[in-house]
Amino acid sequence: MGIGEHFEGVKQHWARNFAFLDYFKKVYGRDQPLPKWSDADVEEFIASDPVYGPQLKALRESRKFALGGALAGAAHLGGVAFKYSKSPHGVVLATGFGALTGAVLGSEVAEHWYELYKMDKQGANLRFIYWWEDKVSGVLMLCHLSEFGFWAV
Amino acid sequence: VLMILVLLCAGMDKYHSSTRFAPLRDAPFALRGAFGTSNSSFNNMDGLRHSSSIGQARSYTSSPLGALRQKMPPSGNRSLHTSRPLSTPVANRPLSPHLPLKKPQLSATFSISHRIFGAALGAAIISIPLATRFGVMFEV
Repeated sequence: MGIGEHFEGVKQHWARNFAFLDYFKKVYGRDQPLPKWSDADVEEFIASDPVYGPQLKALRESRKFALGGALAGAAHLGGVAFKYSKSPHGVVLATGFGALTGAVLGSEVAEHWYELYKMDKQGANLRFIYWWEDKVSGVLMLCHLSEFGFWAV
Repeated sequence: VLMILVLLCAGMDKYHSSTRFAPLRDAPFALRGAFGTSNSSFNNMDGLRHSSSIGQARSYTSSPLGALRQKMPPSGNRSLHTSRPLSTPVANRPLSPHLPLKKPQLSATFSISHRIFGAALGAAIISIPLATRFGVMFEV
């Protein structure tokens, strides 16, 4: 019937709109979480992948901008609140909100400095997750095979 | 006439609004000097001002109307409220109980719970775009 097809179309439309949630499912929604990677692993991936490596590197560099912005914002707004207000909770809240605003501003600066709007950030993260997945499953497979007495080359 | 006005206003309670200076009280702090220096309003400054603002007000004497010298108020240059750092309390004395005594009424309870709920809801709502924006950056 036509109405069934219509609802299928509606569902597809919303599935496309909410497709970004797949990223969270693949990263956070695993039945068995991946073993935790270190910065050295990420650096290895950045060196190995010519396309997504530099993107991931730029994404990691933008963290510094966000943290620096957070510090500057917190210091500024907290300082203003400390100077003009006598309420301690007001100073704390102002510092927190200044950190938030500063972090957003810093990340925006980084977004334009590294031209992050041109790249697929979630895609770059996913590429690393896939690479890490393959690497880890290869090691696990070697471990499991060795249990049965097989030596993989 | 100016001296009488000075003494009158110095003797008045600082929350009293006199009709002469009422527009000055409503004006934002930055514009107080802009309303003319013809009256000795700088001597009748509120206790809420800091002593630094007296120096700021004095700079207006360089304006064309600056020939009129300001008269010192009887209290001198001290402002009525000095700003204290947060570390020293205003006075080391016990306060009279208010919260343990007042019976919690529906209006007051409703109001504060509304505020608390609103703050929590605001924090929850803003956490969604924040998590989305910064999660991508800080995850790998």
